[in-house]
Amino acid sequence: MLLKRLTEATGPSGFEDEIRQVIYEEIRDHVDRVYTDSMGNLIAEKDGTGLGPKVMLCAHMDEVSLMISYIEEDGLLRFRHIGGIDDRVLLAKPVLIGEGRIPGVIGSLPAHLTSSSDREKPVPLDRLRIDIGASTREEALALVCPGDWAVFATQYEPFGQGLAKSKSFDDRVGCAVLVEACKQEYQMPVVFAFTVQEEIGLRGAAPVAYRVKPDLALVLEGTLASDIPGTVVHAQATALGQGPALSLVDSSSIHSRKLRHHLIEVAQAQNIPYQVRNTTAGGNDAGRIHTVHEGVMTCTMSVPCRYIHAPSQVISLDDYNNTVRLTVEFLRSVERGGLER
Amino acid sequence: MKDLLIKLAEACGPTGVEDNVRDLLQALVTPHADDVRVDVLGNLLVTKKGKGAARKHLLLVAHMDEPGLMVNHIEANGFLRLAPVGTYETLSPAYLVGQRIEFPNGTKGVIGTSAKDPGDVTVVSLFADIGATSREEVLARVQEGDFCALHLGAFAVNEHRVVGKAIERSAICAAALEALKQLGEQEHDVTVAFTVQQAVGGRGAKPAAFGVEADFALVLDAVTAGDTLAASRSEIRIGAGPAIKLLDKVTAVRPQVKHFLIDEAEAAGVAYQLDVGLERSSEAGLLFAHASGLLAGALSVPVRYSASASELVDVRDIEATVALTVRAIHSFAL
Repeated sequence: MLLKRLTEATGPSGFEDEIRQVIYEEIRDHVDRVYTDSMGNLIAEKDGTGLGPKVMLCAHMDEVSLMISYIEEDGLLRFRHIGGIDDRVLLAKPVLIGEGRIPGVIGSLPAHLTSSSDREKPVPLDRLRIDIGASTREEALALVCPGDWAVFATQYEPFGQGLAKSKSFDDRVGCAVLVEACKQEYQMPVVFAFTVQEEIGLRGAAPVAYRVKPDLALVLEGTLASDIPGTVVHAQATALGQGPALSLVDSSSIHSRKLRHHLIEVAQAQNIPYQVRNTTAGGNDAGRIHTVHEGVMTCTMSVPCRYIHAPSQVISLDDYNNTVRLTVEFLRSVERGGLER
Repeated sequence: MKDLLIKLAEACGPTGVEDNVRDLLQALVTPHADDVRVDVLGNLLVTKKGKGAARKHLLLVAHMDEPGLMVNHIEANGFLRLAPVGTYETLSPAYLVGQRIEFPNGTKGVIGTSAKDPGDVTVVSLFADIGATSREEVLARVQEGDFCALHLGAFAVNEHRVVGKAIERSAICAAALEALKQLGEQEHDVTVAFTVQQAVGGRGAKPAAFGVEADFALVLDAVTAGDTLAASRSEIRIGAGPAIKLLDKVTAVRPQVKHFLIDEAEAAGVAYQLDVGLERSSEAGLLFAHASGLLAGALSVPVRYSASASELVDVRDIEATVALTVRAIHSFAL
């Protein structure tokens, strides 16, 4: 199952080797050319059979994760974040360390040993440790070493009414949309860009966009959904089950209005549900892509994702399927000359 | 000049949707240009060819946008929810309550809040009223993702000084436009880039410069004046001439550029000040480090009450900026 393979593969920012190989194997039979650039971005090209604007679809391969920074005398591991993680979600979570997938648990004190004032605030990062079952530094060093990364141990699993959880829907769900779109044939050139290091500063996307020089770009993301009790509708960003979310503005881009309106027209014509992402928080690769060369018309479409940047991220599989549909129908529409640029 | 300033200030050009300002400028520059085009992001690129044999290409940058507010949600009963974009993000949301807004399509409205006390006003508590009574009625005029700007008249407070919203972009664009008109025949090729999206981090500047491949960029910018009753460590005064940028958050201007601009100001008898401020970013810094690098300097027009609904400039500063810009273009030899 594609979502399972993609979300369970490891790929901390800067260490995307495993996920890149997984994606490569998924797409290599469907593209004219596929290669990796010096940063580690995976770029797949389909030449198409006719003329047309060159479209780039983009999703980032990396996931928020942890890095081991120091090994204590007692065998416990200190660690830092790779990408933005709220410390409140770390406590008592299982992790997997490095290519060897050494299991570990982020430790916690039992409640009766904490003071009531301590329990009122999150445990700060400098008091958290990963326990890999070692009792000395030497024992720990036989398994891990400072600089090794760790990912959350969550497995992909469908649950509830058409929902699924995983450790990395941000942005493996975007990668999955690209993989599915890649299996279709198009008349115009389409480039599928799987980028690195998005979570630590959108670092992979600009070099890809400079190389590809697209006429227009669509970024596929997993994005914030705060449709949980206590959040007013206009602060929810997105809600699960209401279809792919089209970005308006975020901290890195004012997304192309023309492209968004075109996506809306396609969605309406094909009877695909959609929503708009109503927060200005967050940022993604679109911020780097739209300012390369003399500017690129760029928009973002996302699968809404609850508990993003946390160990168990949750999406609606209907939203995912509708995002694949809208992406392919969008390409079909551009192919037919439906987008006036 | 005052009339032009007022016209530009009253135009509705929130960041990312500068079309109304661009249309206004495009009509005014066309008689003075050899080539006028609009790029993908909406930058207006105006080129006037030089006559010199060994001519260079000089880029004059002036941003067209003002901070804005985006509609992020439309309620069933016709009220709009808003999110500040650009420099209004740093304003206390309470400041926006009671302000009037305008959309580029002419739709107007007023901002209210559900908070009872000014201290409790958050962005989430803000709403706008455009007179609609249902979501459907709103959608005929305004969509989610549309931008509006504050809607306030501009006026001269005396012979030299003008107050208005978006006076910063108005002063900068007026200076660039006037410089282009006054150029006459010049040796170097000149492209004036009226840029978009300055308020969200100068996102228009690099794409604007990319195709021009200029040898030098002169950015027209604004600087907050420190000559009011507000406590401020800035020595910048209005009416004392353009401030030659030396240092900001994103650039240290190269000494040869600084000396060139100072020498030209002194030779022309133009009063000038020096702009050293680490609070502000600039398009000059972005261009300096752009592509293979671009020599860049900046002249900042002093503005009081910067990024507020009522900014104040002195027209003499704009005229002095024009004089120095025209002279720098004619005698450029770096």
